[in-house]
Amino acid sequence: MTAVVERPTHAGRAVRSTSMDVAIALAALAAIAHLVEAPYHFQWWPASGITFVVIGLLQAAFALSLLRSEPSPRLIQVGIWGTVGVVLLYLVSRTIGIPFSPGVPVHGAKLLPGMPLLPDGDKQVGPVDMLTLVAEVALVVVLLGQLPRRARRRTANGLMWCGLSIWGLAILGALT
Amino acid sequence: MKLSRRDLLKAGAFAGAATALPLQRMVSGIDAFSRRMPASKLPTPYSVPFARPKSATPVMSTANKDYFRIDMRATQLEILPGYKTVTYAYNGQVPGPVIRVNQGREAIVRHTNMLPKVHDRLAYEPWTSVHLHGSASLPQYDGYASDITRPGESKDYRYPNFQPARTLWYHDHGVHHTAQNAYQGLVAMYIMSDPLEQALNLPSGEYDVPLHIGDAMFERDGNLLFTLDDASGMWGDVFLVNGRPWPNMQVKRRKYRFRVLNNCISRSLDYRLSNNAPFHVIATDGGLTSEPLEVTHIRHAGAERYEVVIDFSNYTVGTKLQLLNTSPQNNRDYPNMDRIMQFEVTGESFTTLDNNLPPVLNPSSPVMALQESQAVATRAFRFRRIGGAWTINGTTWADVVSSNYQFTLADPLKDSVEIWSLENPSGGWFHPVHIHLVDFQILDRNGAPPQPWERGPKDVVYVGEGEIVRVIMKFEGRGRYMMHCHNLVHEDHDMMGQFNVVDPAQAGDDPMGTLAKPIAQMGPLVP
Repeated sequence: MTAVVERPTHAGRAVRSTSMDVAIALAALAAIAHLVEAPYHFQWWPASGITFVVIGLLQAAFALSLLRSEPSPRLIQVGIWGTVGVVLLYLVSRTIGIPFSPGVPVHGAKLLPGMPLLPDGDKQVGPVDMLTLVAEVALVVVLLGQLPRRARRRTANGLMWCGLSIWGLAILGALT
Repeated sequence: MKLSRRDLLKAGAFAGAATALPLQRMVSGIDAFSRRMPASKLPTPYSVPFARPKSATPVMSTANKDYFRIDMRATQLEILPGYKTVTYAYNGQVPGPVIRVNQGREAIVRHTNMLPKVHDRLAYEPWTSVHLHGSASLPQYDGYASDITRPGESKDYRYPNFQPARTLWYHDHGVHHTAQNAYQGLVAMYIMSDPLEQALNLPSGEYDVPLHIGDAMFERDGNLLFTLDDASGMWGDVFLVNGRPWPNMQVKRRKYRFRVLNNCISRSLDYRLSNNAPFHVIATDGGLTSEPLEVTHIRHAGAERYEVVIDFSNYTVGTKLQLLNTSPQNNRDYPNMDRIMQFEVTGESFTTLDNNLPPVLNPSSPVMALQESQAVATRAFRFRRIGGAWTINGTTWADVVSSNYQFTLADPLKDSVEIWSLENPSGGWFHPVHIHLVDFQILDRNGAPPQPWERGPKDVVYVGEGEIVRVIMKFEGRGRYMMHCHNLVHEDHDMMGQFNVVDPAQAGDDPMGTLAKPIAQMGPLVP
């Protein structure tokens, strides 16, 4: 079964579903948040700033592609799992820390694993972080609803296992 | 959208997992205050007796040098009555021991970091760098932030002591952890005297009193609670004077000299006596003023030092005077943060030999004689928060580090005079700006004359909300030195840069040129 992403109007023109409008808004919100935050992260570590720019641009491109035409199930899958990847990366950064992030370049001193560069600086969760995270999670759920039934079931199972794995790691103390 | 209940449950497992941990982290940041010791368990103001920090004893003195040994260790102290608090202490004291020196005698201080490898609560490695604040030390002994001493390492610092008499202080300056280290106790005074000051016969001995004013917040178990408040600052709910909460000091009916240091991590003060009686400022950061400056209050930012003489001779025995705080804007206030300490006048006898406040103190301070016409350059520095980072002219200490410590905000010539304009365009916070190496004179604040208490040699200036403060200074010495905001949370979150005093005839010493060593590799302190 194909997802219904457009509905006919009285004039015969196709318009997007409300769900797709929501998905576009959520993707755009996440894109803006990443792009706005990029300069600050670039100051800390250029690779982090570049990552923010790349994520922001990809999310913007995704929002644009949803805006322009009816997305294929494949594109929706890319949107879902790409967003899940961003969410997981964020989770790691706010728990165990990015393992390959730089130490403080002072004569031989390196950060201990999971130790932030600035005191709590890179593990703080602010309102903007939380808003973006919620937008991304909501985007995943909205996109899931756009998939054909079979793909939706498979993807929902994947998301469930992903979630259970996170819970399991948290319970085992691997994500603190 | 066609999601079945089952699909929603499966997606919910992911959504819940993805948001629960960050949410918990966000809430725990807010929740830190829930661990705060309730106000009802804090001591009643003025119920705890006043104490003075002990002085350090040199391990050896030669004809022109004094040698000191200072160890930094985690030390349990009773700050709040009935509670044990883990502190980071210089030689077991908070504040640390006062180092007393005379002008013209070099001091060599071996600072050894015997702190734990990792802070047990805050999960950071407590590396240190000791800055003698107010000293024109060589760059490699100035406590350069990235010149760190890791736990198990040691470094000998050399202090020249050629400047005029003043109240200095030594404190931690380790990159990104200064606020935490200083908060936990790595602060102490260093008092330098000279013949001019000694000839003035100012109150001395027991009448010359160091006053460290700090603030702290405690957890329910008595340990220090450290919060960052979105990296804006650390604001305590207890005033500690020389490590004692809101103490009561017994004073005799005579003059006292108080060396007041605001060593709060972020808090600024505006204090006065409870009867609004005037008192006299006799010295600022860089030493004696030209004459006693009569004031009724002082707005006092972190790291500034003001020496004041308070005359208790006109009060009857039993009089109680409080030192009260009218908190300047953009501090976080709690109950009892409007009071600092109490003076209780006693009838004890005293000597009148040094009960003196001469009308002239130091009329020939070179920095106070500087004229705008002498300046060969004027530079502007904007202190701003950009995208969460605290910056100076849009740069941070990260720019210095990534340039291998070469990036500078200014390159004044040795022995040149410059005017620096320090600008705070924000209305949301204030910045105590500290320029290392130099003493400066405050020319004006938003075009108006400096405050009455600021009319002496300075090395920190309160740059308030929307203020532009112009200072003038002469760059003696050579090499790279830091300048930064002395709200230590701002400093750690990178409102710090450096300038290079250029001597065309000779390169300055490398601030990273004399590194700490493992303790076992240290030679004897005294050659």
